Amino acid sequence: MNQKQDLQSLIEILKEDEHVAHWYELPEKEARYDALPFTLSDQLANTLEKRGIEALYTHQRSAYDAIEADNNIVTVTPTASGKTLCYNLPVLNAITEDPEARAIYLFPTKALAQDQKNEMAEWIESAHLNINSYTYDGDTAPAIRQKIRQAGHIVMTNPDMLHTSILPHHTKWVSLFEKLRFIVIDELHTYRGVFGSHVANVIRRLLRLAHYYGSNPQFITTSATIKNPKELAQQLTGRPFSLIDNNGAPQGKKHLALYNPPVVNENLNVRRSASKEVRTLAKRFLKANTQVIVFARSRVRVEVIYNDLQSLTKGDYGSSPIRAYRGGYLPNERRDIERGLREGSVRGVVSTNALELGMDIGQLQVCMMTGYPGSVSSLWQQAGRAGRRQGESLVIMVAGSTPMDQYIMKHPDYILSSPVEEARVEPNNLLILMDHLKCAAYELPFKEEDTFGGIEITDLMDYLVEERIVHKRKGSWYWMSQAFPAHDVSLRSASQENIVIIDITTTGDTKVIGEMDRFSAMTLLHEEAIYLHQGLQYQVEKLDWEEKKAFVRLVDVEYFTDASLNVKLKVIEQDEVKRNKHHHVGFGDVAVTIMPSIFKKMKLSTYENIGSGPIHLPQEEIHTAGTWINFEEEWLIKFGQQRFEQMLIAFSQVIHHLGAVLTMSDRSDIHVATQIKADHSEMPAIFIYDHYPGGIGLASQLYKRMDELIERCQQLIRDCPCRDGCPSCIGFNEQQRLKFDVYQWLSSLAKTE
Amino acid sequence: MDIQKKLQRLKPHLHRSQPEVKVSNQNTEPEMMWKDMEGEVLFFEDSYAFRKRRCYPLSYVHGGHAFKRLRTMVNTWKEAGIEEHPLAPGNNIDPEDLIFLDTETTGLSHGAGNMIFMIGTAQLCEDEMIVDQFFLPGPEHEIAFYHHFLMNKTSLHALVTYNGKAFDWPQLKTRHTLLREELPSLPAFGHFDLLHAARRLFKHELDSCRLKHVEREILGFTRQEDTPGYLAPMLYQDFLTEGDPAHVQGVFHHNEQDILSLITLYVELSERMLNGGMNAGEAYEVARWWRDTKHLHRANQVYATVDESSNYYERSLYERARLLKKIHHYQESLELFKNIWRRQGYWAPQAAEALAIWYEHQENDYVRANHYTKEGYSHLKYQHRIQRKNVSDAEHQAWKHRLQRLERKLEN
Repeated sequence: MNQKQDLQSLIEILKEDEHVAHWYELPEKEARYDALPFTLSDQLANTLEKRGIEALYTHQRSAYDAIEADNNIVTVTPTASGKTLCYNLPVLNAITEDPEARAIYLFPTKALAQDQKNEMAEWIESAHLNINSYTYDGDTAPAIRQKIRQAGHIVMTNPDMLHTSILPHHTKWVSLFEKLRFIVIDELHTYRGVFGSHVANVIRRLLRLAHYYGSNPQFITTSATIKNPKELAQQLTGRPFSLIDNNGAPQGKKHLALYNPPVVNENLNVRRSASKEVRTLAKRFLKANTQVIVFARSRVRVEVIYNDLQSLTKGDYGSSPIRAYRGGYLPNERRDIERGLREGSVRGVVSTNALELGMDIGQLQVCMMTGYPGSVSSLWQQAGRAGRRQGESLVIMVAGSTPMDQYIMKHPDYILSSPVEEARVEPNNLLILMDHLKCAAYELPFKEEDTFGGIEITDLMDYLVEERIVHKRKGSWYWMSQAFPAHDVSLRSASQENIVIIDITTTGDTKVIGEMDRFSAMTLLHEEAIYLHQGLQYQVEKLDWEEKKAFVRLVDVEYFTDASLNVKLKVIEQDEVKRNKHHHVGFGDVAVTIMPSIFKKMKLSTYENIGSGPIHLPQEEIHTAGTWINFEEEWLIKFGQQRFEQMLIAFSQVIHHLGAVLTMSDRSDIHVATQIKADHSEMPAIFIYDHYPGGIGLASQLYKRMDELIERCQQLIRDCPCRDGCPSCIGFNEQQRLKFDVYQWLSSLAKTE
Repeated sequence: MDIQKKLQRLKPHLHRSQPEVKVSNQNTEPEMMWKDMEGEVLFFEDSYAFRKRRCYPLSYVHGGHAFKRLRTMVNTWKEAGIEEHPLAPGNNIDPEDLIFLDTETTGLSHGAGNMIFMIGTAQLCEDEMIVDQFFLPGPEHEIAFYHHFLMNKTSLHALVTYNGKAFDWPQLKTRHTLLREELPSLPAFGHFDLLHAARRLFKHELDSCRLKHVEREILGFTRQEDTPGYLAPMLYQDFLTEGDPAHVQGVFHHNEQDILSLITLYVELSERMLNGGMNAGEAYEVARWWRDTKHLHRANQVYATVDESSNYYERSLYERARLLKKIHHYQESLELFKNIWRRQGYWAPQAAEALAIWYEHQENDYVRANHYTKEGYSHLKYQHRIQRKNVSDAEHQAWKHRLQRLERKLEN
């Protein structure tokens, strides 16, 4: 049987499927080449030719030229477009010319660094270069650490290792810092939000040390498609950047199908589950002997889909033709799967977004997504897993029932036109800045005239003097504490200590199954709460607020719990305001006081209230950045107080969802609140605030894009096929025509620019 | 952004503050500040260091040894002709070259933010033991501090420390790297680490080899009115904020005691090493150390002194039997292995194995070899069963292999 024919005919069949909401064909693209640069060393040019590369793709050449011209660059090109050459070529060339030159490669994970090291090793070997490239991470044997420090030309590591190990011990890395020519940052878009804000400060520290040792490194970065790659690079590093996006890599014809599962309950607008549809579709393609990758958003879903597919296809082809892939597997297991995919012995793989980053798995024919992966850049990175340079490929996104999934089914432009999602960092968040100022002071004393990332430090240092952490002498601040500050600062979690969730179901085998931030814990981990973890129900038996532990036990009950919070929100300072006819939008500092009050037990099948109880927890206060919309009283009069309050809540649900999407953040990173009579304005208001003390730039970003946000909310509500609200838009409710009212209201807001 | 205001607002989220402390008067002239402490203020460019010096007569006794014993000890090492040993000074080092060194730091972390604020040294000089303590009067004075230290100690090839290889020396290197443009280069480093030696000899006797513990248990004395070492960083902070040298007086004393103990400990360790240890356990460890440093004859002699009534006797016999084989005293070795086998103790299977190997490969006496293999293996299995001795699969395999091979040889 002809395999290509088969894929072809399956594509034709799928095209006719009534559930395909949209079908796009991305046309075939010819490769565009530029000549090898003449400044390239003969050795490297020969190696390229040996590998069959006689010319560079246009973007590779542009990257090379921009680096030669002393620019910092960020390259944005699709998966599998030869991105690594954009940094490997200039770096190897520079080290060939100057054997003293050094480079640091930063990858967001250890696994990616390992992967790149292997590729680099092949290069170095085939070019017979005398260049040492090493990974430096927690697994690096102490015996070779010394060698890496002294003689490693290229050190491949991750931000955490840089933060806790390399920077605080910089005196052991003198030969690296003295001649640091390049800092390569791969997958730049992963550095956003709290993590990105930390990393921006780690880079400030890195640059400060480089400067101290007399080097001035150049940045070479790569990013997935986002709205603001250049700006993100500049924010992360504090340097100007050139954008390289003239992709010259060829691309075979690619089909993109947006598939919306059929509605199974008209009233509630419930659709068949995305995982079910994905399984059916995947089976079809596997049977046709095409290589398929299925993405799912959670580990549990991966396992479920994997089990199902495996039993569906049991015995059909050789041994273990289908594999699951996710974080938590052992490295060699993962390497094995990657190899299998490249060589074709693995026919199908079900994966979390772990396979979205640059691991080399070759190019597959069909890619399926179980629901919108959360951001357009993720979507294209996952889609990039299918698509050979020649031949056709197919990407199917099967929609789930979330507002965003359904929004995309109605507005495919959201993913097809220029990107709208922005990645943000807020390096000057005071808590994060303070953490890294301490680390920096540990690394080198600060002088009075010094700045840190352009920030005046005198006030901050005086504070640290008060805390007896630094000591000021003769115009310099010296670290004077027994602590090792980097150990107290984790780049990947919020500053407040999290609540650890401990499963005590089996006596003698208690285990930690997760953690949760304090604010979420108030509503989800209070005593007697039913906590859902990977599809299982646990009841919280004890919440030790002081020790930050929640003890849970596996149960099987017919209800869930729903806690009410009293949220008090106060605007401390309004920094900016935009006035419109019927509303105005503000931005500034807010203080949020959260106090849990009671919880209700709701029957799973009917949402019936079958009991309630009090929650005894102290109130929590957070100072952060927020944006808000104040509405003129006319609305109150028009709809009546009670009705308008419901409309505010309905709107807040949608704005929360889309706000998280536009800022590429998790829904728990931003919070929303409504007040029918806000303290600061005495007007009805909706607040959106960063769920992190001091703010990390999400609310400020949404403030700037509020008109767009409102308009997108209005469109989402308009296009949702349900009658009176469903979980995909404003939520279930029993109010007549609430959805219509909200839509009308938002339309008139959107009109009054 | 108004940082002060934000700072106030966010303070609850920052780490808790400590009580405020009054700030020192930093304008006092160095000489005034240090007038109540004996010692010198040593200037260099625009910074200075403080040095306290005390000279002890060589008859001075600390922890059971007079300092003059150091000279004797070094000579004893030389007379014994031993060079290749971590405690042996070797031919090129005279007693006067040994520098006993201990530092006090602002913390225990190893990174760039940890400072040395005191370096104490002791060195023999003609008829005196001179203790020099260099003190850093503030973080801005590091250049003078290291300058004077390095001018005074131009050679560091014979340092004696307690864990200096892992701690003091790397710290010194870190600080020197930061100031390398302004300082003379760091001289080559050679080293006797007494922590390493104490661990080798006393690990069975002592729960911990902390210096204080070793002083009490081995040198037989307890310090009076000592400022515990872990307080040193805090006391130094107090000194910096308040500017009163009284805060660090105790640290000077503590550091000096540490250094003096290093001298005594070096003498004591050398003595035990050269005289074969104070008890059976120590003798066993001394012998092992001789063996590991390739002094096989010495090792043999010391193993032979292990008391028959002690727990170490049988394993010493075994070690000795192996040693004798190694130095080609085959008959003696064989007799010892047989002796061990007859005792039917813990080491019996290993002895049987050694005997089997001997008879199989040296004498081609397969009958005896087979006998020892069979008996040895069954004894091992007995130990495994009754005494719960750990026997790995690989060991089982090795025994079975040997048995099969011997049976084949016997058949032919």
